[in-house]
Amino acid sequence: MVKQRVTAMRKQVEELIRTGATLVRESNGLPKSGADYELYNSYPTFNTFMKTSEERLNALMAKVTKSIGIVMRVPDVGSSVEHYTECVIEAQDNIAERVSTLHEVLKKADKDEIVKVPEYITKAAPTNRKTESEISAAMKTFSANIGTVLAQKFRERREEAAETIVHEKPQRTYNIPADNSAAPFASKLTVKHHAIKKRAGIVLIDDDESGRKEWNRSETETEEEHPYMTEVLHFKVPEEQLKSGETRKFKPLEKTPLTMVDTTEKLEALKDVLNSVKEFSVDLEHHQVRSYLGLTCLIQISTREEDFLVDPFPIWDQIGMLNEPFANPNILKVFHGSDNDILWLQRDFGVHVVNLFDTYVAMKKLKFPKFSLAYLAFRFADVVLDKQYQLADWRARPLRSAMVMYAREDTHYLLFAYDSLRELLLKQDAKLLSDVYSECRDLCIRPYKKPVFNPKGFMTEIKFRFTLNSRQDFALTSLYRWRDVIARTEDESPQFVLPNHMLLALAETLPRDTGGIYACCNPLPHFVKQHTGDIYKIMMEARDVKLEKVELTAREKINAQEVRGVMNESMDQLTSILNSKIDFSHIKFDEERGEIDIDKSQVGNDIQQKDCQTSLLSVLESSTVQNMESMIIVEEGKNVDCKKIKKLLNELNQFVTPYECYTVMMKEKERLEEIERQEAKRKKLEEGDKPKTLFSHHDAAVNRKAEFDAKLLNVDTVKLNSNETEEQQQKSPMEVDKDPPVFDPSRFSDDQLMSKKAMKRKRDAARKNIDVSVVLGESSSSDPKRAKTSEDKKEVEDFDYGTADNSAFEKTVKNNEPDFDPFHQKYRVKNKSKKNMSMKKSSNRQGTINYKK
Amino acid sequence: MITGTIVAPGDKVLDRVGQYRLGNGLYEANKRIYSSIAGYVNIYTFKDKSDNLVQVIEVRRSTDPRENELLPYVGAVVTAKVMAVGLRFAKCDIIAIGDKVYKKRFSALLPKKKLRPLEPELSEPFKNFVRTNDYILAKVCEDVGIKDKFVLSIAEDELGVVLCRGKFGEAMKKVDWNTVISTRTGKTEPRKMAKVPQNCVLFNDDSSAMETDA
Repeated sequence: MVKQRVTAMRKQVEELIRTGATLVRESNGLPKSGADYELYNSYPTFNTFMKTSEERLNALMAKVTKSIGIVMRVPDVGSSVEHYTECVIEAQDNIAERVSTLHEVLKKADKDEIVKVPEYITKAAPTNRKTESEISAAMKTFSANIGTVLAQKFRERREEAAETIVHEKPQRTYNIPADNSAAPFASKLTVKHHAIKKRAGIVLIDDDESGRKEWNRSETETEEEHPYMTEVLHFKVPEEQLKSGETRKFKPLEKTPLTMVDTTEKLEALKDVLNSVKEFSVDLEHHQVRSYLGLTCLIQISTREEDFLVDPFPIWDQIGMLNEPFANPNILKVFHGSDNDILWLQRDFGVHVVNLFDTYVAMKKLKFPKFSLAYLAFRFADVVLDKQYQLADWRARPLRSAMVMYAREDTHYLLFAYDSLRELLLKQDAKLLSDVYSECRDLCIRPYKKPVFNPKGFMTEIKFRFTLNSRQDFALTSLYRWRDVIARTEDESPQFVLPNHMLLALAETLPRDTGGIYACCNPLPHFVKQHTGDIYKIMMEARDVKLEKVELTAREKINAQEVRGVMNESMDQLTSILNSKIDFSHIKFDEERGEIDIDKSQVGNDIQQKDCQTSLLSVLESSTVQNMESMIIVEEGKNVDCKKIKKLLNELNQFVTPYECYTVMMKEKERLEEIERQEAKRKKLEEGDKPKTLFSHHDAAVNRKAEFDAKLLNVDTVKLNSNETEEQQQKSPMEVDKDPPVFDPSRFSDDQLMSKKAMKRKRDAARKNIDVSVVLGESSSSDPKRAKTSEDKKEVEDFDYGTADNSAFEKTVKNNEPDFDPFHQKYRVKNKSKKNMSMKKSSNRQGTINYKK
Repeated sequence: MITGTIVAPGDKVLDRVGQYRLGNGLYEANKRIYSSIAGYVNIYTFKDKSDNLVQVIEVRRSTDPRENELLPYVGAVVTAKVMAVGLRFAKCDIIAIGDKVYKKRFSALLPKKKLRPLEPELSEPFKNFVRTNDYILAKVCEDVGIKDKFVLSIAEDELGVVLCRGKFGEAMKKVDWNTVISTRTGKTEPRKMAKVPQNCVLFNDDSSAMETDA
């Protein structure tokens, strides 16, 4: 249906675009102002036609905008084009604004959970098709005038909120007793119906009818023992329940009578009704914030014909009489997710269940994609349940009609779902149904136990962001105990007295005054305000404790982690998935699905298998690749050219990678160095025979370590020489330094070889001759010509350039090595010659060169 | 107990970590320790900052620590191709690390200051040393400025261009360590050639035998 609408809409839009395009094309054909318009306008027929069409257009625009719900300012006939565009833009702005506000309202409504968009519709999986009921539900929520619907919803919500406030706790109003003491739970069972075994401590009173016996509570009874232990254990599923039967469709809600049970008489009637039927479905509404142990607020019971809502508050003590149908092994009770419900029934009313069918267990057995009641109702009854009241405050009386509706829907479809599930189970495997019953028996047998206060319970309950020191530990322990005591005496849940995060904040900061305590708790819980003095005392005591770091023992740590499910010594499939390094975070965990269900019975899934897995070593060892042989792949249908292949292989064999060359070179170098070293050693030994005893300053500093050895090594001597000769040739017209080569063959620089005086002499001699000196390669600091002074510069300037032939600079440097250009003279000379540089400048250049090197 | 045992990928090495710290080539699954590579189990100890003895267990491919490296490591001699030459850097692709050729090419940088030893700033242009599409032998080294890429250096005699081509894709012959000549046009170009034999024959026992290109 939606799809049809969408396609229709799309078609309309396409149509609209097409007509728009033609409109534009046509309008372009009209005479334009400034061109022909004025001329045409002088004809009265054209003029009147234009006017009438303009009027028509105006009327159309007004109509269109009105139908959207926006008033448009329609311009007068004959106004300018600019005015028209202005008006249209304004109208469009209004539309956009309206859309955005509606969108905002919708978003807010979604956030406030006023509009619950059914998940099947927003996040529908592509596999499951939408049914008519879903679509109608969606349509109901999103009707055309969504604004008014939302406004109404908002109003309803506000009224509801005002209504639902519970002014007085029902425990007090109806005098409901709560045993919050640490004493073990004592069963509230007064009359044990359908008992099959005589037990110690039970006084049997012979009754006229079917095995009715009086059940007296005895002090020796421990809470571990379930009063109906034997009954449940000896329970045999009636034959007809294991057989396939007819699937009875539920009656529509409107035609089903609904009875509110809130008096003893009505309860008696209900009991009789229940005793007479073969099966009925049950659900409970529970409240646990304002009660230490929790409080059953509503019992919904549905038979095939009727729905009952039991309001337990006025008839709290009488509800125990419902034990008769509940414990009857011949009457089937259908629950959904019964594990808590059964315990609550035991706790509050002493009602025990025998012969249970849990649809949740059945769904698990059938491996449904989801296990929620909503899914169950959707799948079998094709009804979308509105689960918004799931967490509502069910203590409020009188119940509002919406909540009543919700409550009866919880059980209304359950019997039909049971029928369908039974058929499905039988169809799959006859054993499955009895499996479900045996699992339900395990649920029934669980006795209610009161929560036992654990003084260190916060270790598991609260997630720590920091490690506690001794003060914080003390404060936390004391606060935790205080909270529990208050919760017990006031009959509130510990979380209501002091939420976990506030508890932690208090213990972490250890405030010094009441103001600090209030600062830690926002919003301030009622009991904190009432008992500020107690908390203050705890804080002061904690501050007096000697400060030291508390180290958890390894055992404690593991316990805490295990409870939280972080780490488990026993590694099974589930935990191995949880501990896996593979990122599962993108896979959305569906709460409705519950925990991951893994079939452990399957062979080969065991994680231990990996340990005994055969090693790959044998495989690796067996498949040793023979290096010498290479595989040659020839394309199919082509001849194998042996010669070519041989040649190729030969080439491949001969090819030496650069790295191999490098290793060869390094080895060679090592060898040479080794020889050199040995030579040096030998020399040293020879010299060592006749050691020199006396040294004078005339001695050459031969024994000094060659500091620049490493640097000099990099210079290729051959290259240097060749370069130098070239340089000399090039600079031939000038006086060229005829000094000995800068680099001594023995790889020692001047200052290493000569004495100071000799150096000076040499420098002086050089100074006399030098005008241009060129040093190539690795010029070391020891180069004497580097230390030129201003004197040298003067000498250079004194040089008569007029006589000198500077043609060498004019012509581009070109010899057999065109790219050789040590000082970029090529560019410089080019530039200078172009600009007709004077001699003076060129001399300056000379100077700079001289200076640089 | 297990030092020196040969393991294959997926073999269980330990039942639990115990006092060991996990090194390379191992992974933990289901509280047990498995090998992820084939090699020898090795245990070594070192002292950490607070003087505690730490025992590390790892799986090695071979006894040579350098052989275990998969990525280019500092000091590795690599063969690279020059992809682009900029003003201060040349972009290179590492083709082979040592004599191991990888499918994937690691991109690396050859900064200008790593062209020659002990020369902070070089006025000579990049093209006098390497040009685009040259194959070079280089060493991976560390650099203060560049942290996100492998930095190459050819500041050694034995490192530099090993193979280059001219404008028309023709082979270039080495003239000397600083020049190459085109076999087709006879044009010479400057390069920093690696001081390695251009053509050499490898002998298994005697590596000293080598022939230089005629």
